Amino acid sequence: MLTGIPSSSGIGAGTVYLLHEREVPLGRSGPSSSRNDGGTRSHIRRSSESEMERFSRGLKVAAVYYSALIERIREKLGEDEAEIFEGHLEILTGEDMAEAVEEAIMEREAIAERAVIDFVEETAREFEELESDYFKQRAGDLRDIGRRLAEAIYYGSISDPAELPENSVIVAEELTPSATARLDTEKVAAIITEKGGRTSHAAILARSLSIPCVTGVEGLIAAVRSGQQVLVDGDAGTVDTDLDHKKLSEVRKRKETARKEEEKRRTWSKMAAPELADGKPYALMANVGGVAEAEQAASFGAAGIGLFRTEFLFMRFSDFPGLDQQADEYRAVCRAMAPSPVIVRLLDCGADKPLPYAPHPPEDNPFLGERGIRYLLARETQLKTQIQAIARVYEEGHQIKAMIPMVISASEIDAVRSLVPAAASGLPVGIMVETPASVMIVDRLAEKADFISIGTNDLVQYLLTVDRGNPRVSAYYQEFHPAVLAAISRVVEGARTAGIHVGVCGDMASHPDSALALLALGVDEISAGINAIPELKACLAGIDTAGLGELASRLMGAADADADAARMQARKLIPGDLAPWKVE
Amino acid sequence: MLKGNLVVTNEEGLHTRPANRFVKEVRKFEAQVILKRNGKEAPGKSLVKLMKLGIVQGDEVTLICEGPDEKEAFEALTALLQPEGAPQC
Repeated sequence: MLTGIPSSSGIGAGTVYLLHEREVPLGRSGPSSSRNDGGTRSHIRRSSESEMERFSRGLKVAAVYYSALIERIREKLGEDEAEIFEGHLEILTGEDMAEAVEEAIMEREAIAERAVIDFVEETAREFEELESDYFKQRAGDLRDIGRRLAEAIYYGSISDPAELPENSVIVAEELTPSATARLDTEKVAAIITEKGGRTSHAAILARSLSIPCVTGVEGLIAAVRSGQQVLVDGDAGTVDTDLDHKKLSEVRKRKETARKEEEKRRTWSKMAAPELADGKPYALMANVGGVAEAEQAASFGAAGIGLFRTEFLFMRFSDFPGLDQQADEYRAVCRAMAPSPVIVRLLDCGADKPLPYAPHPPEDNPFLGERGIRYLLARETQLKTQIQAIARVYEEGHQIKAMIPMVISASEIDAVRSLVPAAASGLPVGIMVETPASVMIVDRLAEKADFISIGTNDLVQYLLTVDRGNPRVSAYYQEFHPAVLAAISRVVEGARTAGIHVGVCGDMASHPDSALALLALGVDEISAGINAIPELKACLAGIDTAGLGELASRLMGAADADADAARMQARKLIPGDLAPWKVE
Repeated sequence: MLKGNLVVTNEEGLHTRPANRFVKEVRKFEAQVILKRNGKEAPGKSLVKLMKLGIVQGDEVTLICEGPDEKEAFEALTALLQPEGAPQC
């Protein structure tokens, strides 16, 4: 069993496909020229003229290769990614490369491959000297381009793993951008790399395509061989190499059964009306991190996106994504959910979840530090760009709303609103209630906000002053603590007085007992993790309005009692069968 | 010759994608184009040299165009560096 960094979740089993760089010797002549000599292997050092000729032949091969690659990327990953590779083609065929290579060949008597590698290496080093992280990282692109060209010169071709067998587990020391982009991802069961981490190009691509991926697996290349069967667990970060046919077919069978089950569950969920037993409708929305999840949410029959966490979007890029890039993503999520609404939470990062390209100075208390709206107000350009991107999609007629995280005062709402362009002044701006301060002054905040969503994870932590990640105090983390129930009740009251909607997008909305409690306390919308939606629908379909009313009075009556007793009140209501899709 | 200082407002600065667009635009004109930042300069038709200027949003650059169609070239390239017009300050 090998272990590495969990980089994209899921389980994948399949056949190892070793993706290795073809070795290009840089100090002697290669086979493509011996072939041209009529197959003789012995020959004298070639002239500078013939090296120039080898260079231009290799360049033609590489240019044809990149042009085909660009078309494939355009189809698979879209115009933005394709244009980046058009830039790579330009670097390949541009005058800088030609001039530097000619000089090295004519004046230093270098062979063509060496001339190319020297040029990209020198340029890559210059990129690494630049201030911006974005440009530093382009050094890797340069080296990738140079290696492809050297390969084309030496071999007369560029190796292409397009013909992957089904169920391939890609194994590589490191996946370069060009190698990742040309993978036939339909046939990839998992990706494992010896180097790299969660932010490497391969990991990011794997996540966007939902392919299990483990990076940073020490000793990987030495431990596996092509054709071997392996099992990759992208959540645990493990690679199981000790697989026999029996174990493997068991895994396959389990995956297949799970897939069929999932299909039934999804169909049931999509068809099930969001109504209580007596026909009273409720709003069940989904929490998502991107387009793929939004599509899933729609297939589960969610009534909108109650929380679109934009952190994942920001983590996918190597620098803050610009207005166009953000607007494209927001628009795509809206389209996936149309005509239902999408609530976009403004970037919520801080010392506890920093962006790889924007180093965050360490803080003694990250949870009490510069996070949420505080982080954004300290970086107004980024805040402005994000609001403009949301506003643009709003102006296009999509059902999109903006939500401010970590609010503690009304001035923060004013600050965000002042950045909304006049043409999009109707854009709904709401707040996330997750700080004790926002609960205490909820009436004042509700006057300025268009909607409220309670973020129970942070709210419970801050109200009870409990870090739920700390095992020594995690037992004190009680969602049914009287203080939590009273706070939710107070927020519902405040929203009702102001005449605005109140939802919940924390973990409490994802479990049947706490979701019931939320609806009983008068919350209008609950927004759950996608996977919780079918069970929640099944649970709510078995409960009527009167049942919720009764639960409300018990919960409020239980205000002095302990949290476990309160949770039991809700749990009693949950119907026995939470998986009706299993019944034919 | 046309020469002007401007602040790059394109949010991607001269990253791979916008820099490649810049080169493609330069090729449409006869005019010679030079872009300068921080004492370094690059010919407008060299993607590698342009990227080596390391231009990001907010940088001040000097754009120089010289040739029969320098006015058109200057306008088209300015529009790439400032897609939403010059900043209002």
